[in-house]
Amino acid sequence: MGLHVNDLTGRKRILVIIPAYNEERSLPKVIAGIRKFPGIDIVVINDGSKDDTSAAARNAGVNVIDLPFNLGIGGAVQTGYLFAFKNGYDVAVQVDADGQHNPGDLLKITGPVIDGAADMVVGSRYIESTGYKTPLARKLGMLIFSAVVSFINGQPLHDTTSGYRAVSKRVIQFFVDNYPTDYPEVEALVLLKRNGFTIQEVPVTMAHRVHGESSITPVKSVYYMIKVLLALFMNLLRAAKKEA
Amino acid sequence: MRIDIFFFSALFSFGFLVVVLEFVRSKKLKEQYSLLWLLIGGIMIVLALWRELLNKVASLLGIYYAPSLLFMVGILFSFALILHYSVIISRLHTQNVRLAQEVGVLNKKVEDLSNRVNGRKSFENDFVDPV
Repeated sequence: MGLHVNDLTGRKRILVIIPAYNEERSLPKVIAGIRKFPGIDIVVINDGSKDDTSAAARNAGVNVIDLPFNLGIGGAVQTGYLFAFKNGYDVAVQVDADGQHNPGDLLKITGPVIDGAADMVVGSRYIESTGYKTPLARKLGMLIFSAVVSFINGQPLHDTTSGYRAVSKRVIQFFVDNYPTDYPEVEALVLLKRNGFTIQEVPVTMAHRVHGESSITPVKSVYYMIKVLLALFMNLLRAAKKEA
Repeated sequence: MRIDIFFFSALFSFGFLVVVLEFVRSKKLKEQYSLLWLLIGGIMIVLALWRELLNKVASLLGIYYAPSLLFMVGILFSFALILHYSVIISRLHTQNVRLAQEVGVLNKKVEDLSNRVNGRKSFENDFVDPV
């Protein structure tokens, strides 16, 4: 890449947040992929892993925050936002540790946030055909979420469960005090919109996970549907937060 | 006084009140969480001893067997108390998550500072953060 790093990041300080639970095998490759963009900091949130996730991240030479016990994806990601806020970062990017997010799309996702075009950018695998094959049952669930969130937000959103997203400094601050703990991705979209933040979706390519298992098993998916839909409904009944 | 269900209800409620007060005295139970227990203990004693009141309230509610009013009051109160605890657990959960997050971030900061003091480089993008 011939561009200087400051041309890419617009002299903004960018932090990549990687929540990781038992991802020692896929993590080094994910970190190496992000490392191709110099000037972007990385923090791995080790969410009480039982394997050597922490050592794997430390060996790669990135910031590591070890949580004392497992908080779940929402609590782990929020730790990253807390770290970003305390260290004054301008842009934060969430990247999954399982390797399904392509680091090559990093600038595509941060671009609109750096330019001030959007407060949050979601990397979506549904906008164009990007080579991701989804299982049918999962597809149906995703379609329901997409329809509900698009309706509530009054804006078409296709991939509401994508964990590949970039946010602005204002959103970082907002997320420090307002982030759902359990299956947070879908709810965060409604939460942000209702508090006056703008959301943009950009197409990305996603791979199937290489190692480990998805955190969502068939049994959990029913709970997932009900919990998220209830959370969305409750968001509608709440007034917008004052600090936003 | 007859040895019947009313007697046992009153006796049990009285013993219950004594236990709750003892827990508060020995600081095993916080005052704010004891108030609901004391309230229900008091209500149960009054209903058990004052039979005319219990019979009157029961007949007003269309309950033919008056002591079942005691059960109903007890069960309704139990539901309310359990819900109360769910709310408290939710709050503790939120606080617990934030504590774990702060501990994680603070540990990271301590690690960085200790590395800096000992002249070890901690990580790649070692910007100078305000201590």
